[in-house]
Amino acid sequence: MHLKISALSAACTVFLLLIAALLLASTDFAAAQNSLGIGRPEQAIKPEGPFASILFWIQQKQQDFYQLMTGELKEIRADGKHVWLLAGLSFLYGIFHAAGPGHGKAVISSFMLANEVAARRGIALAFASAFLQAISAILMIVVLLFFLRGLGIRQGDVTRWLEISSYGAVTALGAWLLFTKITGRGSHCHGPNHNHSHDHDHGNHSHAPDPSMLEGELSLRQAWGAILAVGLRPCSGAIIVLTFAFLNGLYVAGIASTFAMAAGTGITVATLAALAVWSKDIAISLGGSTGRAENVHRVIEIAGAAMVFVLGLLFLSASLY
Amino acid sequence: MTATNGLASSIMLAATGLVMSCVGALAHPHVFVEANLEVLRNDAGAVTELRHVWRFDEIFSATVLLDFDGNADGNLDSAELDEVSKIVTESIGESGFFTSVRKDGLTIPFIPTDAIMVDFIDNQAIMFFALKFEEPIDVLNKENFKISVSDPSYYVAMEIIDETAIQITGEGTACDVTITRPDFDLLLSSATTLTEEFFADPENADLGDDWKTWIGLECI
Repeated sequence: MHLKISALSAACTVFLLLIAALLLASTDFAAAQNSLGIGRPEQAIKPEGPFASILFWIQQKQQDFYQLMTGELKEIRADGKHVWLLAGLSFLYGIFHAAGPGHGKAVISSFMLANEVAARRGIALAFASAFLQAISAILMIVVLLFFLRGLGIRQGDVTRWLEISSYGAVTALGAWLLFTKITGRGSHCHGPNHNHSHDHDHGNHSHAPDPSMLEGELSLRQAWGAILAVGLRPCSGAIIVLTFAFLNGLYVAGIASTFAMAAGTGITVATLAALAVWSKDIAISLGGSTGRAENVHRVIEIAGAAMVFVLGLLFLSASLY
Repeated sequence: MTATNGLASSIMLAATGLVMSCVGALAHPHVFVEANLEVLRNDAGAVTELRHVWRFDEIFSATVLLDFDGNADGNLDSAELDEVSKIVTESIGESGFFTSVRKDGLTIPFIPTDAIMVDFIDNQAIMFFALKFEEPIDVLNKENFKISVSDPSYYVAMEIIDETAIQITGEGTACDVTITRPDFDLLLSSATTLTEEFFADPENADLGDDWKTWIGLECI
């Protein structure tokens, strides 16, 4: 049985790596520089393939809300009123923005597959990482505007450094997850939904003296790792809005908009994280008997960990390219 | 059976995750430019030069200001503007100066400009430059002469508001200007039929002609 699992995880990993290679080859990921040479290293991508219409619709919605949001910001500069309206538009923009670009949702969802955590915790993870992205954006602009101005340090460069650090951290987190999953450390959390018996064959893998406690601490540390890894990379829309707002002295409006955006982003990512947990539970219950369910479970966790790792590598190589 | 089930479900989950990460590659433009174009004609009425004037949106212009305002005086002086000019000339140059010219379906080359001039007026970055043609282009009675002003990577949304953004100057008879915008519904319905080979063709490597807005010129 152990052999079968290893073969399966190997197959999954190979499959994921293949898809990753394909993705990397066929997709124009955000290149290191944009067509102007100013601003964040980003390119918009023409929607193609079977999801083209959906992608295009999301893109249009993002742009509509972006235009409304920035339009409102200009009005606030003129009359100083309706910050709540800006916050509302930023919130909606955040919801659609997270459905588009961003590594957050992919990493958090994969993390949810890798770790047996309740949907509730996934939601907390999603919001925590979204808010950290907001804080990262605010800190970045404050430092650039008040401390480093005139030193020739460009926003695009700082964004790129933070991006590379974030992707590096995601890759490291993925490697760490893979290690703990494959070696069996932390693969047997005893959540309320999983009262499986332990009389089946465990092969070579043995339990630590107090596994649940150890695993609890381990997965908590890994959860913080995920929040930090994702949150390091500042929220892209927020950076542009903050730059304009802060240069015009609209500090409250800029910060309100950034946090509203983060709340919107959090909702989208949390939904996807919850979906990941939900589909994992279904897959496990489809596994049938306890022994088989256990196998399915383990394979999914390893696949999830592999995905965090592959995503990290993918984003990292794209940003270094 | 276990193996098949497990593999099937993990593939399903992996696919879901990867589709989500594919979506991650998609972004909408964050830079908006109001583009104006002057088409210059010689004594014979042939087109010799294109003159661009681009006005950047205020939100993005704030980023330009923050990045290049070396003396932190809230404006860009000529040395600072030169710095912007150097960077954008190189980057926009690499993207074909966001300009495509077609006559009878053929790409018409132009001479790259040495410098894109930059100004900063009323909190907005303005860029202007001229592109000259090696040979004057005869546009008399030619219905297939068209120009596109667009960023192939779509990082910058180049917007031609209407016909008044196009000026025809110099000698020659009157010209009709028509602006043709892409039909996204049609393009999306055929998006799945675009093959690898289509994009492998360097002519089609960027946005693709169908995705661009075209300025058609019809001179009598």
